[in-house]
Amino acid sequence: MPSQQSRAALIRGAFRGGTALGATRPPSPSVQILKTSLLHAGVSRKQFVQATGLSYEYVSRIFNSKVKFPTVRETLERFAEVAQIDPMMFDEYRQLVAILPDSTRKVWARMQELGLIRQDFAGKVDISRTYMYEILRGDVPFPRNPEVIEKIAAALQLAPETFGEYLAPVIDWAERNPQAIEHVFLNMLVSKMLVARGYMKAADTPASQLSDSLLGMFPPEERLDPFVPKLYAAMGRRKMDLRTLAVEADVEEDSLRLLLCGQVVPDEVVDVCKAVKSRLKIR
Amino acid sequence: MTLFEACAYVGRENQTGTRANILVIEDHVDTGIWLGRALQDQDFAVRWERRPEHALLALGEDPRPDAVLLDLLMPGLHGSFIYERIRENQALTDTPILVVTAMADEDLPVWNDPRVRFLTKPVSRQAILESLDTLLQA
Repeated sequence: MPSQQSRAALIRGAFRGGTALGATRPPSPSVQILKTSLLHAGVSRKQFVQATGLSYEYVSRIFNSKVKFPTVRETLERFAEVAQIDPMMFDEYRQLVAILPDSTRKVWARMQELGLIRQDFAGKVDISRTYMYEILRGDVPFPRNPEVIEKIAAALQLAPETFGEYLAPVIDWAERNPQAIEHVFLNMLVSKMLVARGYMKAADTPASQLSDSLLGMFPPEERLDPFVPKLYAAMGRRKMDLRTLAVEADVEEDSLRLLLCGQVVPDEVVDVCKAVKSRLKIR
Repeated sequence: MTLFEACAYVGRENQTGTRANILVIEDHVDTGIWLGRALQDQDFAVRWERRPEHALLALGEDPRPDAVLLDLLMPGLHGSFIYERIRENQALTDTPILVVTAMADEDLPVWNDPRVRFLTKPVSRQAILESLDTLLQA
């Protein structure tokens, strides 16, 4: 039994010397690839007809290049499956794939993994079937609407972040606001410090992946005003991160960060202290 | 121009009517802004460098700082390294340095340098300004 690679080489070799005599249209190289691969796989034309569900006459016309070689993705994949080859060996399939956005390719790959055909998949996604078909064909760009992406991801049992378009608004925002990235990072670091100092239970968050050495930016506990450890404890009890506290207490996030990072004494941010004290009911 | 940008650029040109040029070397974004604001409010010209390697380049540029505010714990380069480069620079051998750090007291470096003062975080604006004044007047 030849390996998949040697089989592909044999088929390509056979194709190079092959012609479709008597054809009424320029033969697609895929015809010869299909014929040769079926031969190698020991699949008769009759078996091929049965396996693909096509009519014997239509298959004969394909094999004789009397009709155009199929260009429907699922038909090509079925041909390849029966012939036990990679569908990428068909020019028509490569052309289909080449025009697809990355995310659409991911959808197709996942559909294959789950054994979903196009109709079934379109039925599972709560968006217009026509639009879904357009996406799958690559007639339209992959959607950027987060709600649509979430629906597609749910139908494929994937996280929406799998698709780059889902994070695109975040990336755009980050590129426009380089400071914002640092703020997000520092906020995560505060959460990590709360866990490291025993104020908050450890959780599997991105913060836990930050290096422990980064905690050196926080002054030792004994140097802090007594109010600050109380604040840490209250945040820990409520499992509240810095950003949430800033929003709920209606204070400037950067001032609160100065306080929580131990950079300034509470007197420097009196209003912030009052607001968070009230919000967290700290005595 | 945001305050962030302003703090990074104020002091790059010779400024008149300012008390002194202060080079702030601080990687924490909020602290850098806060320090910049506090010093500018007191008529200091501030140049804020957030990355230690950029700070090293700034040491050789005009206007030379009249004083340096130096953080110690920064990514890539420790503040001690910057301190040594400052003192190696002929033009900066006597430049006052105010170290503002979160480091534990027992870990603070011993430099035996009368032109250096240490303040530990969390700090107050008043403590910084008083220390800076003392250093500049000495």
